[in-house]
Amino acid sequence: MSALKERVKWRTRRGLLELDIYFTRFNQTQLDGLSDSELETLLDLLETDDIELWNWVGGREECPVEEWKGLVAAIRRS
Amino acid sequence: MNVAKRSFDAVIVGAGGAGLRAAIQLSEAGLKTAVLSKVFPTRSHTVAAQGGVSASLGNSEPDHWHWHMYDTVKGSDWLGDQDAIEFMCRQAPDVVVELEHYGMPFDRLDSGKIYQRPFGGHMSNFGDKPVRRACAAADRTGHAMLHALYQRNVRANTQFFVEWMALDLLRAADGRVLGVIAMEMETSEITVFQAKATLFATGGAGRIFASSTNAFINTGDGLGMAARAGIPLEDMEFWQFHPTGVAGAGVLITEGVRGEGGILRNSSGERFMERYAPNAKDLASRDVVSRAMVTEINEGRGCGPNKDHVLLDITHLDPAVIMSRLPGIREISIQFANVDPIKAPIPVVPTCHYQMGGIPTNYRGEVVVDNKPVAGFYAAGECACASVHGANRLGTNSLLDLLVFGKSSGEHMVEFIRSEPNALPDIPEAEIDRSLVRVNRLDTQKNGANVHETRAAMQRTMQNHCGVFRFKNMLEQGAAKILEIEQQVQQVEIKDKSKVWNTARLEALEVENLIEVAKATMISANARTESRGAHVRDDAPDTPQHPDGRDDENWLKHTLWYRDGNRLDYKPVTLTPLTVETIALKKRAY
Repeated sequence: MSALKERVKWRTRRGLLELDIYFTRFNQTQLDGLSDSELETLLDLLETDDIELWNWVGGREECPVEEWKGLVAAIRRS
Repeated sequence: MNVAKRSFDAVIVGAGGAGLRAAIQLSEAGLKTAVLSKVFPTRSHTVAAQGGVSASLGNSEPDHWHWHMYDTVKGSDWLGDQDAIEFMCRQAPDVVVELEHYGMPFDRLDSGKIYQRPFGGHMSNFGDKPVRRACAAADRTGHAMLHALYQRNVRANTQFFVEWMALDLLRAADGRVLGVIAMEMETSEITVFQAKATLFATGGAGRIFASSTNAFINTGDGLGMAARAGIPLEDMEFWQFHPTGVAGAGVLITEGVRGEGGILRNSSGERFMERYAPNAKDLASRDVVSRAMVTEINEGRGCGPNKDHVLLDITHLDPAVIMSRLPGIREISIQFANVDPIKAPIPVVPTCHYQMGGIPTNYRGEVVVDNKPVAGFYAAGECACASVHGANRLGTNSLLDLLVFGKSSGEHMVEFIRSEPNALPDIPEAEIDRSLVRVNRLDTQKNGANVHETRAAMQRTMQNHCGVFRFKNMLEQGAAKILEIEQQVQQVEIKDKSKVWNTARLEALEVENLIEVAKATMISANARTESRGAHVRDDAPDTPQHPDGRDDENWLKHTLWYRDGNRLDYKPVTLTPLTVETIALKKRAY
C-alpha cells in the first residue's frame, strides 16, 4: 500500500466512534479506488474538526467546500 | 543499539484535555515541554464529551463545593478518596473560570455569567434536590475545551510531537522515571524522550470491550506502559456502562428513546422489563435495565444468529413522532444497525463508556506505589485513578477531573523539576532494550496470530465474561480465557513489515497495551466478591446485611493489580477529607 494511502488510513482514526465506524467501512471498500489526487483531497478533508465532519457525514449539515462534497457523499454511502 | 535521544524538562504522553491542561502549567512556567500524541490534539477523544463540566459556581441558584463533594462521594459508592474529591470540588470553580479566560465559549445567562444546567446525581444541600451545576458549550463542550486548551499551548510554545506513539516508560534502577521511548508513525523511527518529569494522560481503554462508545484510539497505551514498567493498576474492575448501545457498533441510543415509548424485547418478542421492574418497566434506572438485558441474553433469550443482543422497539410509535422527536436516532439506527426503526426494532446491548480505575495517583497527580510517590512520574485524566470516581463516576465529573488533575499534576511537576539538578541521569541500556526487543519481535515473528482476530477474541471475552452484570463462574472462566489470549497477543504477527506509516504495526502495539488492561479488569473483578457501584455480581445480591450487595466490612478498599504474576494487593480508601468531616458511609440510594 502506498505511503500516502497509509497516512490517510491513520488520519481516519478520529476522536468520535461514529466517524471511526464510517471510515472503517470507507477504507475497506473505497480507499483502494482513490487516485493520488483524491487521496490528497481526502487528507485536506480530514483536517476538519470531528464535530463538523460528523455533521456532514451524518447528513445534518451540508459540507460547504465544493471539492469535498463528493468524498463526503462517498463516506456517507459507505 | 543506538537510539536517538531528545531532552526536555517535561514530557507528556497524550494531548486530550488532561495532557493539554498540564502542558499549559509547564510551558507557562518557562519549562521545555514535549507533548506526544497519536493523533492531532483536537481530535482526541475528549471531543466526544457533550454534557458539560461541573462546578459549584452557583450562578443560577445557591450551590457549594461541599454539596458537590457529597454527591461525588455518594456517586462513587464510597470508594472514592475523600481528600482527592474535596480537592477536586473545591478547585472546580477556579479551573472553570480559568478556562473561560482561555477563551472557552461557555453558554451564558442574560447577566453574562456562565449558564448552568441540572445533571443526574448533582444535588443541593447534601442530596436534597437537583441543582444546576453543569457548565457547557452547547452540545460540544469537549470540543470547545480542546480548542481553548490547544490554543493556549500554542501561545505558550509547548512542543507537540503529533503522530508519535509512546512505546514504554523508562525507569532507573531505583524506580525513578526517566522519560519514555516513542515511535514516529511516519517513519517507524524510535527516539528516547528524556525528561525530569513524565506525565501520562493517555485516556481510557474502553476498546477492551466488544461494545464500547470509545473511539478506536482509546487503547489504554499509558496503562499498558505503566503495567509493563511494574506500576500497579488501581480499581480496574470498575467500568461505567450505558444500557443501549447499537449492537456491534457501540454508538449510543439515548435514554430519550425509551422516554418516548421505546420498548425492550427479547427473542420471543416479550417486553421483558415488565418482569424486572413492574412499575418503571423500560424506564427503570440504567443499571436495572442493563442487568435485565444481560440476564435475558445469558438465559438464551437474546436475539440474532448469536443470540447476543436484545431489541429496542419503536415500530409502534407514529412515524411522525419518530421523525420529529427522534430524528437523530433514526439516522443512527439506519447507519449503524442497518435498520429503519420505523419498520423494525434496533439491536442493542449494554455498552462500555468510561473507565473509573487507572494508574494510582494522589491529588497532586503523583503516581503512588507502596504509599510513596514514584519520583518523576505523574498521571491525570481517565488513565489515572486519583481516585475521585471510585466505583461509579458522576456525569460531568470527567471533564472536571481532567481540568483539575491536569492542572494539579502540571503544578507539582513544575515544583519537582525546579528541585532537580540540571543534568539528566543516564538511562540504563537494559530499559531501552526491553522496549526495542518488544517492538522488534513484530519484524521477526513467524506463524503468529492475526492482530484483528486476537483483539476481537479479547473484546468478546471481556464483554461476555466481565460485562455490566457479572457471574462467579463466568468471571473464573474469563480469567483463564484472557490469560490464554495474552499468550496469543505475545505472538501476534504482522505481514506488512514496512517502516513508512505501518498502521498494522501500530495496531499490534496497541493490542499489547489493551491486553494488560483486560487482564487487570478481569482478575480484579473476579477477586472482588461484593457488588459496588458499576461492579455488580449476581452472587452479591441486595440483602439487609449488605444493601445492594455492598460489603464495607471486607471490600471498602482499592484493588491494585500488578502485571508480574497477576498479583493483587489492596489499599485502604481515604475516608478523611482535607478540611471537612468525613462523609459517612450509607446506602447509595437516589
